[in-house]
Amino acid sequence: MEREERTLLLTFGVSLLCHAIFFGLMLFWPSQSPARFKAPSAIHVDMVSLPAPINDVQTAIEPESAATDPVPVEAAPQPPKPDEIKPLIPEPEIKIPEKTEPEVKIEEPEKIPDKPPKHIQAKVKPKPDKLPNKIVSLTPKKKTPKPKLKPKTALKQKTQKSSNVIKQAIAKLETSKKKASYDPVKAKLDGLRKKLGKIKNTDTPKRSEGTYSGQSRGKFSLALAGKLNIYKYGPLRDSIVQNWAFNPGLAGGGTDLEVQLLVKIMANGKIGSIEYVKRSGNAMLDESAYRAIKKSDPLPRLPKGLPYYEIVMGFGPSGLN
Amino acid sequence: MNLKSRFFKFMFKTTLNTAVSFFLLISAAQSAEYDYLKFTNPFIKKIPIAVPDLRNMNADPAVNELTRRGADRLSSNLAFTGFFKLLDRSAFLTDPQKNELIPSNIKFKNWTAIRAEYLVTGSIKVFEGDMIEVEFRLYDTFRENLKVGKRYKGWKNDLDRMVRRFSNEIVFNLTGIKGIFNSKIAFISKKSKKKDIYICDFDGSNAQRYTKTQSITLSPAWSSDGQWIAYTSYVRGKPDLYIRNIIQKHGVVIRKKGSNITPDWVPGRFELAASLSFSGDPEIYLLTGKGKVVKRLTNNRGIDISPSWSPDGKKIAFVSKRSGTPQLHIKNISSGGLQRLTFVGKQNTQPCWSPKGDRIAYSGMLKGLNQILVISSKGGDPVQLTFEGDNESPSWSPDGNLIVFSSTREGVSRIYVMTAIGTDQRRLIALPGQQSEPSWSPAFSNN
Repeated sequence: MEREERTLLLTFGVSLLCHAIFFGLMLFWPSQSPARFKAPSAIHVDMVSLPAPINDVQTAIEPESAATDPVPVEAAPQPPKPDEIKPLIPEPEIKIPEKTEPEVKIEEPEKIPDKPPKHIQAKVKPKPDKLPNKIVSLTPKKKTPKPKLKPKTALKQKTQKSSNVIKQAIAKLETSKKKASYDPVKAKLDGLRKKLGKIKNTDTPKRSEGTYSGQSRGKFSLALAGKLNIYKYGPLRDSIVQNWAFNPGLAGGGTDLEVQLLVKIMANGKIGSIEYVKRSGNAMLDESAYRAIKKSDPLPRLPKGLPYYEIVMGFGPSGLN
Repeated sequence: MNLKSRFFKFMFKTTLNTAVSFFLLISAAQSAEYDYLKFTNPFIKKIPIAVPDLRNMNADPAVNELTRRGADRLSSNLAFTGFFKLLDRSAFLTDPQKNELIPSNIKFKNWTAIRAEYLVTGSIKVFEGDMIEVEFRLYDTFRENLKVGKRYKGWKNDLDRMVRRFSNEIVFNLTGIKGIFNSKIAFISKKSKKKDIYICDFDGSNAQRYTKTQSITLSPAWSSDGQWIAYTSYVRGKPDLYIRNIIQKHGVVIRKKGSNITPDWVPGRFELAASLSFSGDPEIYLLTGKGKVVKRLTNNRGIDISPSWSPDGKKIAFVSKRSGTPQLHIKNISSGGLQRLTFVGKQNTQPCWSPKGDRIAYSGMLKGLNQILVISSKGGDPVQLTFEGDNESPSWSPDGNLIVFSSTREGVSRIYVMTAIGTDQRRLIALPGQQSEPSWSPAFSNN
């Protein structure tokens, strides 16, 4: 009896282990279609949003190799660009000055990408005036330290991963740092403040936003789904299509080209993020789709009751004639 | 014992729960499909681009004329492609002569606000002795980055050439296809019963007479390196085929019995196909650039003329009367396979194979008038591109995005151009007399 039980226990243990490994693998095995496999992430940085979409800070310049042409007209290499990205100066740990509860560390420099991934651009807005009262934040605000310091940073576009955003923010800061007029100290403080904001966001339990997890339409009430459908085929489609500039001739007559982008629309209609899901192979088409969405920002407000709405938009010219 | 069984029960339950919730989680994640919305019809067919005046680096008002000219030429080059909408300069929020357009100062929101998707800035500096230094930069206003920048130095007279070069850079950068701004167009101009070849720039400017015969000259054809031109001339009383170097003008004449007409160069080789009738009826032959017959490409009792090579040099499209009326056919050179391409209409002639290889433009008789049509090189339904007057002799631009042709829509025959889908039709040249048979050169890399 005793032995039998022990065997049973052993079998049970082994079985449990095997199951755990099996299901673990199933869960974490790299998915074939990354777009579809999106477990709700713990950090939603989307909650802070700035109304003004435009930034004054110049972004990084893509280094282009200027091919020199020979012959009468002399083509010289490109003149040096003033705003090339320099490597970030290594920073030791920095603690947030007074009053701020969480301790914040600046990312180590080697983690910082040379430039942010193309489809996501966190933007830094150095203009103080419009800001404070317009910040759309769903999280309870904590007191911001030092009103004297311009609270100028906010994220316009976000990603799922906070670490990415932070990296971009810092990369961005670096570019803005290059501007002579820019005070590096302020920039640094801004960076810290941004991180702080992020941490606050993570602290807030997302559950309080409702059960909506963004993807599955099945979770809506029927009424909401109806409203969303009207929104999708009405104001949303109209806004985007009016801003889409593309010439079918540029598709080389190809009628099967399609680029797909995953767009996150916030409740107030602002675009939270744009992400390529599938590229068409035609750079001109890919870019035109991105710009159509950017030009439509902000979109009309979402139907009430939706914190945000994620949708894949496909762009493909129907072909010649 | 009791405790143990309870423990087992508990463990069992927990495992089951975990497994079930795993399953649920996975299925939830996989069924989490996004809403989807498809756009197929762009509202704006041309990409809005802003080209402000060049910046005057001399502070000398005399240079202002050049700053405007540079921007004007660049604008008209870009507009010529049919892909860009040049935004009205009076709507710009930025004064190009102030410091707002130097690279570190550009406020992209000033350009996105007027819906410009791209911005081209430039500056010009004049040195002693009529030397100039011109800088151009192309920016993506929404991504806020520099796409390409170049600096050119040269004579003041070369400003247009510098602008053409940067126009090529812009098109290549945005579309990945070589720009056509250094290409040329050869055409026939008829004046008092004499026909000569003229050559002009891609936009119809700088037209210059190339042949100076007191006779009739027909069907110019460019070699794929742009160094040679072949044409038919009646200088010696009957149609002979001339092959000439475009610059040095030396070359050979093919004077076989009968007619020697409609040449077309093999892409990438110093060989050409032409229709020769020394054996009786016109057949298509492959010739070397020196005029030697390599082999006969068609063999049929009907008339075979007007060969046009596919870009890979493996097939020719040509006109044959073997089925009774002149129709387009395609012959595979290596396999010898033959296929009739056109079935609509009683007369389809003058094929021109697109540089992209997928389509063939030709002129077809519809209601008593010739019109330009385009058909897939695999066959199918043709698409009619012209509707007014008599339209003939289509020839593709080297990038395959434009078609040059002749038309009588405004009275006498003139040279016109349109996009490959038939939009933006406009006249290119108006010389005294009549113009016809345009032939677009390859894209010269240097000019």
